[in-house]
Amino acid sequence: MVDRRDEELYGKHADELVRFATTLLGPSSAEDVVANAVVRSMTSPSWSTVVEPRAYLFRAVFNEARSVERSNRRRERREKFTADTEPTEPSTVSIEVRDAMSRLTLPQTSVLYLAYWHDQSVVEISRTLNLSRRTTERALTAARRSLEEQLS
Amino acid sequence: MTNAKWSPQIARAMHELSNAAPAAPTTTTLRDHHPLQLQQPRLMVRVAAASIAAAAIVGLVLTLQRPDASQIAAPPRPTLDLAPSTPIGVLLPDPATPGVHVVSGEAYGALDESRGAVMAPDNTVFGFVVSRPGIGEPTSGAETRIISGHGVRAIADGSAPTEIYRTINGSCATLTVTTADEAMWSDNTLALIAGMTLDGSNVSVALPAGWNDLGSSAARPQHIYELSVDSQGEPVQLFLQQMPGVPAGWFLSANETAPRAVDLDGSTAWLVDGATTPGWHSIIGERDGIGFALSGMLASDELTSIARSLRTFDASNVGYGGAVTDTVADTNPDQPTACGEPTLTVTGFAQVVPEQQRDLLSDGVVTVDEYEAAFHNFEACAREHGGYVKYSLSQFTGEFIYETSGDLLPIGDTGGGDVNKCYQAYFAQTEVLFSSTNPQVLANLDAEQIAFFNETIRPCLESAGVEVPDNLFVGSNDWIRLLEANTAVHQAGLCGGIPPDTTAP
Repeated sequence: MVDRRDEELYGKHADELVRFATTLLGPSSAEDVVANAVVRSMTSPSWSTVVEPRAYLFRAVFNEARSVERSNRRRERREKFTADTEPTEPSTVSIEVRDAMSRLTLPQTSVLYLAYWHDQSVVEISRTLNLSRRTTERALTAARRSLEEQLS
Repeated sequence: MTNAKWSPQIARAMHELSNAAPAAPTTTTLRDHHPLQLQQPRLMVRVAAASIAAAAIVGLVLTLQRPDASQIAAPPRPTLDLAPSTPIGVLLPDPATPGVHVVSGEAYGALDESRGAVMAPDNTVFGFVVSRPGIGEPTSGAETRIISGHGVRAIADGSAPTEIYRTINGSCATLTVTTADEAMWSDNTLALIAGMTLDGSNVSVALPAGWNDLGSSAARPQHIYELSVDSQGEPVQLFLQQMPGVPAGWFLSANETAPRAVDLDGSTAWLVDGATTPGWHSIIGERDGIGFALSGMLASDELTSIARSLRTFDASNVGYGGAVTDTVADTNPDQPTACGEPTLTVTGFAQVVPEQQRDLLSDGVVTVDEYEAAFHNFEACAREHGGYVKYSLSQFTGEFIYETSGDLLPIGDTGGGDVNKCYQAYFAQTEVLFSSTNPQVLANLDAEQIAFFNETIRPCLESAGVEVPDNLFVGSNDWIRLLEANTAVHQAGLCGGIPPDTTAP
């Protein structure tokens, strides 16, 4: 963050990272996820050796989202025993879409996002997210099928 | 940005979510978000006092942990020429195969990595991926162990828990060992990792006795075809990935379930099921010198039948039933570094074990008696050549703790002085196998590391203001955090510092 090159890099990719995080977890967590992922990446000792920083940042957001998703699940379990569910924030995302997206795993959502918005091939997505090729293919196939079934 | 290949349902979901995205955090916001600031507050305060009192916290962390960027020269971006100089053969189903159509095809430049697979005596398949460092693997939820000098970080695939990735990071290469349906730290895993050597970007794997090499290779340009198969009146999408000149082992490097060997017209192929996607299957094999993986939501026997129909065609002339063949450039090529291309070499047991240790290691098990005999042979050899080996026994593991009159080199390197030659001939491989498989060693390894930590690292950290829990467990989050803190303290020059690589992975 104190490095001008990092600031430029962040400025260049911030919007698409936030959109990616929003697709993975919804708008309420997106900012935090991106902020944590970017800072963790750019202060990592290995950051200066990263050869594909954009792909690295996408992967960092992906990993951060996984972590947040796990803690969200734990929190939800706790809340079931303690209090009524908190009111959800107003959202422009329809209930149908939210419900359909909630049925996808994080890798499925990530793969679909990169395929749709970035027109990335399976090879490119597997490289961006550090997933195996076949995991990526499976995730894409399953995500398409699930969304089409849920929203048709 | 988008095209007609997406259904209205998917377009709707993607656009609704994208429109809901908030504004990106500013760089000022990011400064308030430092995760390390939360994890190590006391350490940061001390370090700040000792070094740059006026520095902002984010700047301070960068000062501690980040190498000087000016030392890293940006490598030139390579150009990529995908035009083949000679016709390339590709595998496609025989045109006479009923109900099978090629929908599209893509050609890709080679990835900058090597892959391969080996099989343990109990038929467990292990895959390898050797790639360039710098692409981080998941950092949360990983378990770390030190095996035969390798810091190994292991994690289950979050999307496919049956897949376990064990990663060893070197300066020029990252080696990942993958399995499906195999315990993270099984005996097979330990024995295999014990035989690995990372030398720059080259990874060598010396197979233990009884293991089989299923083939390995550097990546080569590949073709990926999308097929449509008529299955019970419904079209089913298949992916046919293939690389000329690579063995089946290349495609066995990451799977959700253990591969099952099947006969494919006289050669061995492998069936793999999808654990997280019911109904997903793959068949992996090699035909006419072309390695391939055929995958999709189709029953194994139907996939096998289609695999049997694969024939070699000229890629430049695939006018196959009206198929569309596109050649697409790899838009994201890896950049070259001074490290060279990652390579993987697998060598069999007899080729790598010196004659003096061959009998000891032939059954893949080293007893305590065999271990001690090998060590004393090494010690005697060193003495005969004018050197010495001073030793004691670890109270925790029963291993020899020793120092020698000459440097010992990595396993397999028979250069150097006479003491190293004695070590390589009589003891090196026996020691590695014993240390990575002996139950007493494995049971007490953590205790030994904890004892070392308490004796040497704990006082240093506590004097630097780092809170250290009374009870520690190797591989826990606290353990990893404290090893990182030890690195920071050492780099900051506080309390003399304990070299961070004494116990850190």
